[in-house]
Amino acid sequence: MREKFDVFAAARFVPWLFASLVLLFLAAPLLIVIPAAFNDSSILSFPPRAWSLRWFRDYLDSSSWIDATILSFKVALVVSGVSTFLGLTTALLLTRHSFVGRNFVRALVMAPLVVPVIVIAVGLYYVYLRVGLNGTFTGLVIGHSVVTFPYATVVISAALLEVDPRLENAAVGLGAIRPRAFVEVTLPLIRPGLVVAALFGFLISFDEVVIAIFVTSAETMTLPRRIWNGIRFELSPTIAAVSTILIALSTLVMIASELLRRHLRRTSGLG
Amino acid sequence: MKGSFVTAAPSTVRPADPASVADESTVDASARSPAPRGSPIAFRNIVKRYDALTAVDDLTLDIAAGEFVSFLGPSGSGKTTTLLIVAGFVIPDRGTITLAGDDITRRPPYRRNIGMVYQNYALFPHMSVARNIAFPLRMRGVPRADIARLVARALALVRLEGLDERLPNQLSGGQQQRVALARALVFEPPLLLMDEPLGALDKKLREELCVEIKRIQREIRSTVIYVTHDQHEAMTMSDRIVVMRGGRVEQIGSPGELYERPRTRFVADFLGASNFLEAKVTVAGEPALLCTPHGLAMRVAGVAHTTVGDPVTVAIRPERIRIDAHRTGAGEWHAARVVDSAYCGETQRFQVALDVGDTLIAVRPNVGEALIAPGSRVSVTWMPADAWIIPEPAAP
Repeated sequence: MREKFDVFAAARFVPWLFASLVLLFLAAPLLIVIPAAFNDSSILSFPPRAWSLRWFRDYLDSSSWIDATILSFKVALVVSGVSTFLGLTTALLLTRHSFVGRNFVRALVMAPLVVPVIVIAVGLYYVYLRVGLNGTFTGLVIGHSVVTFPYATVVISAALLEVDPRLENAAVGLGAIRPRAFVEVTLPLIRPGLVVAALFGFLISFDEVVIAIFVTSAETMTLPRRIWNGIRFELSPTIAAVSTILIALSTLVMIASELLRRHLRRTSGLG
Repeated sequence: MKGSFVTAAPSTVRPADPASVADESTVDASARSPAPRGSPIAFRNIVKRYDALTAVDDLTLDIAAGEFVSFLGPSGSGKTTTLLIVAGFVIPDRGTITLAGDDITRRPPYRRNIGMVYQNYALFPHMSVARNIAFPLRMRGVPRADIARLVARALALVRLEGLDERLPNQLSGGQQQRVALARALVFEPPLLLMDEPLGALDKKLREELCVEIKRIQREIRSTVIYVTHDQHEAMTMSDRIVVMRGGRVEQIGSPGELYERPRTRFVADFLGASNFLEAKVTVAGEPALLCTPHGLAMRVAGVAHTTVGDPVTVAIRPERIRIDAHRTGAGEWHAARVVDSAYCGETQRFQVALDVGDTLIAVRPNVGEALIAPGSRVSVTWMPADAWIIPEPAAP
């Protein structure tokens, strides 16, 4: 008798197949951009016929690219700090205190996640016109923080909800004034959340282009803004090289953050 | 101790001089240790309301230096709120609390210098055992070298030597509770608060830690307020027990006083079990002769204030009722029939119906006698001293 086709055994592969297709779809741009960066051709093309690192050298030799990279780093660092601090204070308010209109405040904090970034960018542009923040470092930091701050608040709130508030009370009962109890007990326990919030803030700011297009000038040209300009006016393979560097950097940061998070969870005694 | 249950000991108002506190010793504390290191604490008319609920209703109480006092009651009786008021996490609406003569009613918790052990231990999960215990010392600016010495001593006190570097989640529940105790004691607080500290542990470990806590308290001679809903913990450890109900003190007394002579039905029922009989005084005097509506007559002492015809509630502990299968009802023995019998391991429990109509529960130690089967004819009796009158009016 012929072996029967086992429908159920075959069905088990369907989720795998589906997941693989989704992954392929998500990774497809990378499969184009990364080989394109190593292409010897002087126009952005795919597939490459000859291999070269010249576009990476071109990037490193270009002061406009390097300046943009350094600026993006600076902005991302400051945004990361600002949004983590704001996220922490807001999360404390929302998780540890109950007050009239708390849900309204929560919704307000989350609004930037729902409002299209372009709307925020246009709004910022008009406000900045009045107060003279367009084209400034400060303006850029504020703009990016508006977008990253809700993420920080969500991540840190989740971390705070895992910490028993009675621990801080116990510390106060043992002789610590409230701020000291917070620093000694609560802060170390939410450190994994703080690290993730800071890294999120950094990555989002480092990648951000829409707000940058509206509020930056030639003097405050971030890396994504420079790439945008490059695509519009040059279409040089340098863009592919820069993109490859950005992808590598993002991947490294994500891996590092995951490793750090695991390490902190283990040493904080929560794991 | 006897008869000292209520309030107003003038000796509690005294200057806040630690030396004078240490020198002074009250009767019951001195029986145990010559110089109590703990401080006396006094509650005066403490009231705390939460909206419609009165959590603590006019509490007045004096606790002597070095005394171990339990607050016993069901949940919602106000015992934990009282503890939080002492710790400083809840400010009472009215009344004052004085510790060693100082009014601490509004003093913030971090300045009260009171040790506290929580039911969930509240150990800091990111700190090692040693760092947890060192925490109150660091907050007090104790020099590093002294910290190491004091932490080692506290670890020895709770018998956890060698576990200094463990994190709390690497310890068993019982060990965590010992760490919490060491952390609450390391700074030698004049008062130690314990909020159901053994609630999360299994029975065997609870009994073991009861003995440990009592030993440690004897060693350090601290005043202890211990909150629990477990009558066994309260009875085995306490010098005095404060039974609370609905925010009010139901009765205060030594474990013996509360068990032998509870003044309300609630206390009689909450500490152990009781048989209650409604009766009327037929012959006043000392002892008086009482009679139940069914016609059960008995002599009860301590009813000199009653007159003929007064309704009273008589209480008798089940283990004080003697049950005999071979005797006939005569004299002080009442003829009865076993309605139900249960084998409970260390005891045997019987429900008996007296021929006159009243029903009683009797418990006897299991010394190897056969269980008396339901339906058997028996006789029961009790000593006149084992029956007492609940002074409160009959419960609703």
